[in-house]
Amino acid sequence: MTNSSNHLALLIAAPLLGDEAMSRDQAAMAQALLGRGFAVNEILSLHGRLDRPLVIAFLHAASRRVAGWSEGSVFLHVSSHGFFTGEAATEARPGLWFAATDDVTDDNHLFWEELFAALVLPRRVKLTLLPDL
Amino acid sequence: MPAHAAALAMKAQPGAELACRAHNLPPDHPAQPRGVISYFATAALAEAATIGDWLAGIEALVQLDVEANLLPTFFRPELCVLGDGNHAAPGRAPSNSSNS
Repeated sequence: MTNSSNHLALLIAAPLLGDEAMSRDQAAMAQALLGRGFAVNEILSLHGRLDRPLVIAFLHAASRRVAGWSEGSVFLHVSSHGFFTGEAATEARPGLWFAATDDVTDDNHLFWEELFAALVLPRRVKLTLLPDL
Repeated sequence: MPAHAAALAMKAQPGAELACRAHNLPPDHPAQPRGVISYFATAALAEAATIGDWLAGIEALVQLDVEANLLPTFFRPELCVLGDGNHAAPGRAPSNSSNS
């Protein structure tokens, strides 16, 4: 744990119809974080039928919350389906996939690079990431 | 990944085709339905001081389930630390840790 008292957990779960595991994973992670000293209001959860605007808005809200921190830590847990573009590892662009269709519209996916761009953290705020996808 | 970040992520297998490889627990696992990575990560977090500790704890719990025939090889998560393994694990470290 950092010496700073500033910490925030961001839990994102993007299940498709019939997915039970992701909501259970998110609940279990929230419980584990409470056991690690997080206060209830330091855990922000986004769950359900997600799309790009929802996730970006969530990340922007988190960014505003930590904008004034001189130091601290943010934990991001993502339970989602994944996808990538590209044929080889060197050119692959991985991301989160929000829809049960093959219709690749802008709102159905979010590349990781876009996620990191939307989550703006002060220079001395560390990010810990646990992707499950 | 940003410079100030650390992650627990699936290893890239040399020569393997690109794929999304995270699984849920097998149907006969007593804790299902859960994602394999999240299941072991939540279970191992309590005792972790650093990301490196967290990974070691996950691997130990995975091994226990493998030995108990609860986790076939296909479902076994192959994780690695991206970034600094000494990066603090989320929340308060265990009281016997020097990193608390």
